Amino acid sequence: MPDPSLVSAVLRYQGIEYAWCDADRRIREHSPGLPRLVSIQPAPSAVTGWRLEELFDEFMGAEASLSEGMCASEPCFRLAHIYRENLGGQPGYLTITVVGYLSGLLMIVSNTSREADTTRRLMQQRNEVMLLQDRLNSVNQRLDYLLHHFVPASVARQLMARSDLPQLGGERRTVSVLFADVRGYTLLAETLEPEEVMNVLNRRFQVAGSLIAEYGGSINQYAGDQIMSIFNAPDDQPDHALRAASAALDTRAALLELDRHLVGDGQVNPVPFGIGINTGPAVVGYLGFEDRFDYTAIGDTVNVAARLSGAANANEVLMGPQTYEAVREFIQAQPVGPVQLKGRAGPIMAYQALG
Amino acid sequence: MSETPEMQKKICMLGAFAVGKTSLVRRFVEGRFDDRYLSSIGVKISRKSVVLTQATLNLIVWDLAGSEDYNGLQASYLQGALGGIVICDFTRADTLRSWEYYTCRLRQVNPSARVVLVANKADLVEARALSDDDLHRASALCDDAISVAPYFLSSAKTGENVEAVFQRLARLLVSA
Repeated sequence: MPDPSLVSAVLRYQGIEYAWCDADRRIREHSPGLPRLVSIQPAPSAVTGWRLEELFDEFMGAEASLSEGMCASEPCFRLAHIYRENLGGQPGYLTITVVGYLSGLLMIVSNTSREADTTRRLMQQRNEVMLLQDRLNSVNQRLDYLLHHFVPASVARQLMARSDLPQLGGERRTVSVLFADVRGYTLLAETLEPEEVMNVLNRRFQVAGSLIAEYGGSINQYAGDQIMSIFNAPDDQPDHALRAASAALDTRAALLELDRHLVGDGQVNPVPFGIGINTGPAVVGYLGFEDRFDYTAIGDTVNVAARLSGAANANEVLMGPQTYEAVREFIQAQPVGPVQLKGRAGPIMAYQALG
Repeated sequence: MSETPEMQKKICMLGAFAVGKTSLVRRFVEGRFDDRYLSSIGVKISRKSVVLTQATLNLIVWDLAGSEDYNGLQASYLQGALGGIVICDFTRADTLRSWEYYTCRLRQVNPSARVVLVANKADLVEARALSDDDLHRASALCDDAISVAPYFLSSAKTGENVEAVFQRLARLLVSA
């Protein structure tokens, strides 16, 4: 083990402050500059005879480690970058290391202000980037939530996946369109407070919406008591007519069950729905003007679906002819004859889906 | 008239980066607040006395910037710490897990350490990311056989509950 006087000479040459301590942690010899660095103020001119923990707050609670460290080969104590308000006339950082040496302790105190300053700058940059990243993630999550709640989930996914922005207009596709609305809505709205009407509708739309979404329908609008959804757009769904008819039948059953439950409890009067489905060509895309788009389907196919929904009796599902042709092998249905729909020139064949 | 005894106690500020550890100490010790975020490194030790009816506590407050990195928190920092103020950021949900993490770290070094949990930046109400339920659940994870860790909503900016946090820890330390 090198001679302590040689170690002291090397440390002095390197500009590092030091103190040699006995087994009782009392300083026996120290470098001339050490007293300037102690915690107590005003700093004494010499600190020989003082215990380490009396001079440096940083040793508080570490007495046992220091005593055990006398026999250890590794440093028994190390604190990096301790901030000091006044280090040679300006704020700075110290690093204290204590090692066991010849049945005592050697404390080395180095001024690490320059290294600490570089580390602090790097950490500041890293932390600011991480904070920005956090904020960005949080904004993205919020935008994602909003987008998924204001446009159909499939459209939201498509919008986020594409690098270009949506444009007004659309593409012609064969789609199945489902409309459902309340029978006797005008009377309902007349007899209940608007808040109650909204609660009644939201409760039903919760049931209908989740079933339609389960079958892959894009719910693109609610208008008063009416819900509209499109199948086979924007995602390809070769069995779109069957999906729409199945969603309609399940919705009818679930709404009837809900009504039975609520009416049985004496809470409300029944709120029956009529449902219409039609299949055929439509243009699917963005309707509106440059500042406000709606994702929707446009065309006679859509109008017929809406009119079938309006023509349906309470808790009835009416299908147009193309829907019927596509699902007849899978779903029981019966013709209700040529129906003259409001606003159309000629009648169309309509079919009642039974189950 | 007999004087109340004086006691010296080391306590640590613990939490993820930028939750406001340094700001809370600055508000408590110097009574001021600085809006700029300046990352800390290493350790800064401050002192302040808290006068209680039973005793006057000279708190040696260790602001542990080392805790900004989970791997950087050395046992040397926590040795001798009788208490800890463990802080999360009311506006950053992911900082809440550090309540449990740092409480465990502190108790590994000193099993009887007293802990006060703090959700800081409570003045930023509109940016709140942690519900009361979140805080209750997270604080329950920090309870141990010795004590239930209380939690506070604080703001180093307005001073809300800052004094109360340190007072609470001081009372826990006196009764320990």
